[in-house]
Amino acid sequence: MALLRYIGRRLLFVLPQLFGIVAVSFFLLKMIPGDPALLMLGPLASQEAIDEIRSVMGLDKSLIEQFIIYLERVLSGDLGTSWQTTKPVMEDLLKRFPATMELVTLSLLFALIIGIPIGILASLLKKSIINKFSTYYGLLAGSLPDFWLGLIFIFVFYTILGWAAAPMGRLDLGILPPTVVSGSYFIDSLIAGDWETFGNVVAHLTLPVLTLGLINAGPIIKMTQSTMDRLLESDHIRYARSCGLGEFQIVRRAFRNSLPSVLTIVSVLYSFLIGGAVLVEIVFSWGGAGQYALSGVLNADINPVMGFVVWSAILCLVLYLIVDLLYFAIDPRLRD
Amino acid sequence: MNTEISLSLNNLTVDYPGYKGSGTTAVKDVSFSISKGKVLGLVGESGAGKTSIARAITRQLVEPGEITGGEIFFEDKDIVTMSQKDLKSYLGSQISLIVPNPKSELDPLLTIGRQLGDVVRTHLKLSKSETKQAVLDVLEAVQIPDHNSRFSAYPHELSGGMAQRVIIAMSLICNPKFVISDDATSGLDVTVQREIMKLMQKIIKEKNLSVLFITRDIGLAAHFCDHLGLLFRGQIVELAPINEFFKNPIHPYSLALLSAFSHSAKWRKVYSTDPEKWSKEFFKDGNVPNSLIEVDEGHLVRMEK
Amino acid sequence: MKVLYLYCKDRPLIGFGYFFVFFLVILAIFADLICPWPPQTANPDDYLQAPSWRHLFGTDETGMDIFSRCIYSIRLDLSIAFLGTAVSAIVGTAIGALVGYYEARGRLKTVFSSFTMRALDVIQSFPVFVFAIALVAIFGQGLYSIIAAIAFVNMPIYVRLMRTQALSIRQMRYVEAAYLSGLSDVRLIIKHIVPNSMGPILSHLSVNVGWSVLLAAALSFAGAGVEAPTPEWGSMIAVGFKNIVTGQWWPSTFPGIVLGLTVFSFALIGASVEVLADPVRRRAAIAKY
Repeated sequence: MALLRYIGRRLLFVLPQLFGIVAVSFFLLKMIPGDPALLMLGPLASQEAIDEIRSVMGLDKSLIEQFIIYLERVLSGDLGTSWQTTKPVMEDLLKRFPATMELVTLSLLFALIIGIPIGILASLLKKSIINKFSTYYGLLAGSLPDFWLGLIFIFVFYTILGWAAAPMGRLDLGILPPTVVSGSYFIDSLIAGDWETFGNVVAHLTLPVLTLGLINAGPIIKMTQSTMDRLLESDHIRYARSCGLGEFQIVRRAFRNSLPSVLTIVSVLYSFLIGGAVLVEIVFSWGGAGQYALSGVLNADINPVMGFVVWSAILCLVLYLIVDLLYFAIDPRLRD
Repeated sequence: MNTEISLSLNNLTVDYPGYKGSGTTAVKDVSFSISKGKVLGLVGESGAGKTSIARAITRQLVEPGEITGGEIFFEDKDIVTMSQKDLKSYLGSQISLIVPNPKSELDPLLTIGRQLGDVVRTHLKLSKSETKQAVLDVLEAVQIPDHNSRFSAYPHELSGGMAQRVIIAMSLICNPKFVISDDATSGLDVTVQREIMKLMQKIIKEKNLSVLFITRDIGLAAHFCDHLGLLFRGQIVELAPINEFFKNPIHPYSLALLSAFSHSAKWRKVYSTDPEKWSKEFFKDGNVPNSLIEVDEGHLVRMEK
Repeated sequence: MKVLYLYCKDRPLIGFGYFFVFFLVILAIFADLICPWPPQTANPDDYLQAPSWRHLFGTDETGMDIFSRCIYSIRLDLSIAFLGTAVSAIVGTAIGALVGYYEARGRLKTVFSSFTMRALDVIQSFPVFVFAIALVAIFGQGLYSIIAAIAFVNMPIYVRLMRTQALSIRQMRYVEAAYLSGLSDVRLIIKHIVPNSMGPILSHLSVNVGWSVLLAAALSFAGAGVEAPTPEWGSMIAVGFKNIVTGQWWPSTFPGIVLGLTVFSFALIGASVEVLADPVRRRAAIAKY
């Protein structure tokens, strides 16, 4: 019951924000110079044809009217068509978002797997090399352009060593994608039990996940370390120590208490990466959602961009709800 | 003779080194001993070094504090030089600590039962059901009403007094021989404080515990202790059996403290001295004199020879 | 200055950060003297040369010298980053001070404050990168658009930092005293609130410059920033992108290294400013001397 109220409050707060996002992005994108009708028909089109298209697309109406029409359509699940792919945006995004989500999720999992142990060790061993290392790693990881790191990995592991798969999308050309269940090849090939495809999927995932994972491990290490530092000095951990609890128990308790902060930074990174992974997507020809939006922006193709913004806002919303549920599971104080 | 002593401090000194050598000596040459089954009250104002002593005994000093001299004997073993492993096996099982602000001393994410159970299982190798029984028993012993349901309660669901009882339970659960109570009731209402003190008194008598009772409240100490030590600027200025202390207080700080706590005008007059005078007399150049002089049997006072 | 020297003495890496930024500025100023080749002239005879004494960092597919281009890029990238950061800091601080000062000060003013904060929430919940690209697309590709986009994306941080500061400083006695003695709101903000809350903002500035360099390069890499022949690290990496698969690593690698070192240096400086701006931590850090 407390949980439902909690989620309800959250939604109440987020829905206006969602509306704001859609509104702002709509008006911003309407300001992009370039007439979509003209772009669609080419410079040689007759004035009548342009006018006709404009009225079909609703471009002759006032901005506010256009926005209301747009909202109505979005609410009924219609995100328009992209004139570049000539397909409904919804269809395109349903294909592309799983690719992005798969990449981002696995990268963050990898970042957590290396970030949390390093952060904890750095906090426990104050005077060790690992402490110094983690301090500078945080700064360095935040400084390297992820797209560049991706290129370097391609050069080393593909061009020179030949270990990695070609940076040309999510699968080798000869291999058919698994039957769509979730849209993530990683999951779908597992479901299908198709090990050959699965191996290929993993091979293609390795480098981009490594790139994004290593970069994003920086903030995770930093957050883990600083909250663990604070907690190890906290009253209740000190008290647990004076009760003679073993070091393992102490670290476990401190870590459990630092989970909410770690969770927060992960959710921030996650929502950032949904759009922010776009450059790495470009480098590995990933065909993700960010890439789709980017080409939309650069070609005055408004529907894909809007569709992307709406979708990523909704995904962030879902993400924050999941994070809230996890907070709820971790911290009994929220349950009242 | 020595076998009767539970814990003794010999010239314990605790330093907090500062920058450019501007450190503070929080505890200076403190010596006292506590016999089995006895309660020593340690009274002092904040900053006098009370908590540093408690933390030194459990070797849990806050950075950058460290023990720079002296010995702490617990049943013939020196805690200062003990290995971490040995220390761990003593803490919580032989020596336990009761702390103030119980709500921030309990892990907010774990149930009471779990936290008590963790301590039991660390020290006594009990099975799961035995552990649970031990926890329920101790919760009952500290008079927590409805202890079966409190077992699965979280710290934030408890009142301050209840949480304090949990802390006491935690300190008793492994049947320790020596308990340090560090300002244990300072955060509580007076009525709750009274109940807690009554409970502690009862348990101490039942289990024949040795206690170091640290407090700011000399009145509280008066009701509770067998011996009383007054701590001032990191040093003991007067140490005496409780009756002797109230009958014949000598050190001006003792007198000043007593007069401040006295409710009757008569007593206030008896105890009061001019603070200007005593501070000049007893702290030449801001220093407390180095020698403790035995003025009567077991009654030590710090003053110039 | 002396404090800085003492601080860096024990932390060579931080010292390196300061040194590197200083070094970059010198290189940028004397680029014309230092660079052996013109940065924008294609030389078909020399295309895709590996690094050698003739071309220190090699050449790209049109035969332009990468070393020279890397150095000329400093001018552009640092100017974009400095300007973008400066604009966002100034505008953001001003808005933040107003918002913080007016919060809970009366009807209309409070509405203004909470509206601004909600608007910031919306702006900050955008996918940052796509947002920046959209801004560039709106303003039209060009230097000023990039600066505007960077300034806009960074602004919310300064508003928030300043607001928190203003909220607490507003409560101080001396501010109340000044208010009661009839000082106007604007003067109060300029004279008391802004000067007394610069600490956290200063320490954020340096980190932010580095971050802006990264964003500018990323925009160019995505094709929404500086266009190809102009020397810019991000677009140079993009140009070298195709070559890396076939084994010519140098066109992308060198600009990336310079870019990374630059951002890293600013991050190091930021980390040290954070410590040095805080009197307590400053004393602790140079305690030995």
